[in-house]
Amino acid sequence: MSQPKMTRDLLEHRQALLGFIYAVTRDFDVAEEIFQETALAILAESAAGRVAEPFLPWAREVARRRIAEHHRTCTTNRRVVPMPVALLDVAAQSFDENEESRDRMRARQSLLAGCLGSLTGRVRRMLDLRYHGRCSVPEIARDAGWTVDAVHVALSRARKALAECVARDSSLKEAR
Amino acid sequence: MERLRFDALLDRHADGIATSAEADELAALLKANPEFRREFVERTRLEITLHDLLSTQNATARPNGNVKAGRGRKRHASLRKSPWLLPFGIAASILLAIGVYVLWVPQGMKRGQETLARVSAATNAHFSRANRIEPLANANVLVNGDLISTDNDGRVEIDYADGTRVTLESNGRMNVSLSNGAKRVRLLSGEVSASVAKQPAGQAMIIATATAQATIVGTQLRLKDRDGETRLEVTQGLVRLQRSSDGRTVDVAAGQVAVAASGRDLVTEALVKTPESPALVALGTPLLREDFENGRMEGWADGVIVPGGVEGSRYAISASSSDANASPHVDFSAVRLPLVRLPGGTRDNEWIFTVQRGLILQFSFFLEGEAGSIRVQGFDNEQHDNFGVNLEQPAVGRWTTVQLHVDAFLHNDPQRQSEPLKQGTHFRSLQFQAESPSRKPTRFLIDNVILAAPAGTDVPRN
Repeated sequence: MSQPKMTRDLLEHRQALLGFIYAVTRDFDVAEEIFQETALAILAESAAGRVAEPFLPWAREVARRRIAEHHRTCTTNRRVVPMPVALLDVAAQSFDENEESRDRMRARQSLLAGCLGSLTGRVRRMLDLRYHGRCSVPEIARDAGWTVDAVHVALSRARKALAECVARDSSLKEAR
Repeated sequence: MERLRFDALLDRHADGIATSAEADELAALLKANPEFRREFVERTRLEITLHDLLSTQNATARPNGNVKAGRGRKRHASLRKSPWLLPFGIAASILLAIGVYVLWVPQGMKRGQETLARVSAATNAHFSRANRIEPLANANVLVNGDLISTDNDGRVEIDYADGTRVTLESNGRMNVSLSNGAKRVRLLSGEVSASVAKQPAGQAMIIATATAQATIVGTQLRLKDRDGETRLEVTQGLVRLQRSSDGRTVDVAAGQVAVAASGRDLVTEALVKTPESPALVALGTPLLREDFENGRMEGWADGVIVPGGVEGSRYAISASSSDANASPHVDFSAVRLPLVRLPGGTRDNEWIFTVQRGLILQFSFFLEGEAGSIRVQGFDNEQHDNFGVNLEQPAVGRWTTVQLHVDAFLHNDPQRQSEPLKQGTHFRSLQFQAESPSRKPTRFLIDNVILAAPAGTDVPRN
């Protein structure tokens, strides 16, 4: 596979790969970092002529190894609690089984933008802090003056409401 | 019951508060139930999309107090105001002032201060530390916070212990520092290039300008800060460029370039490494020269100006096509060229150039895809038809410079190719067209279009 095509594939599947990494790490900064490491590894493999098709499952396997390596390093440095290997494996399996088309990805993005518009006040603010500000739940709780459990419940309800709002639109189902 | 437990575990996992035992339990439930696996993936996709959307929507309306900390983590203003904020702020300021005084002792580098990097080559460069400015010399040690500057003809190379090398070109200023073990370079003006060794997890190197910042795990790149815009060229690896004004990001891969500037799309384009072929004939004074460096489409009817181009160039023209299945092409039209514009002229008495013996058309192109040939042709006002040549099997994936002899252009109609292009006729358009056998869209960039006679040849100007 040529380097330009590899680059295109990589950028085209960025969200899919990042999603998988985030599913396991639950930290956007770490996920971005592992994605970059994965991209470097993939480009190096490509330069050496070692690329497998189809691209995404292969790239996900490269990412899976990077996640494991990242956690090994961090655990050695005692920076995080160990991540269960079982979760990493079953996450990879889950994403392998449930690939999605680009049309569907775009449809979800458009629907979610509309659904977000209906949220106001503190719930919207908490989502901002969690997903834009990258704050942890205890940090949001501290800032809001709520308990961790209360923030957790509020975020959980907000996500559920958004998921239901997106699912109500038939266009996403059609775009599978 | 299992469903309720799964939902609860998934939420705790999503919020990053699941214990190891709960993560194990979640893994077991996922393993046993394909529907749970589907929901797990759906949930993650929703969160990633949420993250992307909120990052974009909030980019222009960040709350006060949104500061960087740790690994680039963003912070927002508090949801509630703390009554301790003001006194705490004053106390913190006093402590900070003391800290600054202790760090910036008048003697320059303090005993025990950590070495950040060493200068491996320095020409006409200075460094500023503790309010003192001194000439920079080879083997000088740099410490956290040093400000480095170069003169008109200056240049500095600094080497970090891990093999990372940063080069500041002439007329540049940069600040080097270390934050939580991660390298930081703030480019205040000028141009830096960097070859970055693989950085430790959680300690990606950041090179920032006033308008953008690049996060680097390990790669080779060049970052320029000029006229309020930041240009990033990546030659190895992958770099994320974030525009400061709105927080938008773009991943720039090897062989690509991106420009962060207000009012311009933050997109990547092909980068260029191939130098011009040494076999090219030296050209004399050009009758026509287009390098697109003003970023405008003057004289060009089709295509779009994009960042990138041959080495040292900021912009090129990218061919476009209204039909995605057709070959992209660009038209070069005389109508808008002041060089040849005649008062009260019409299409028939306006032209780009007059055909003369010895004229050479030189241009550089970058092709991506499966183009089988490039067609270069012009419309002859007097003979009322197109004349041109085909470049068969053009190079793909790299910039290539070619020279064509205009008086060897042939009639488009194969039946009439015996009719020569007459001297003294006028070309009113010049078209570059990439033709793809598979009819798939092809990216086709053109830069540095020059029309001239060989050096030393006397060709009268139009």
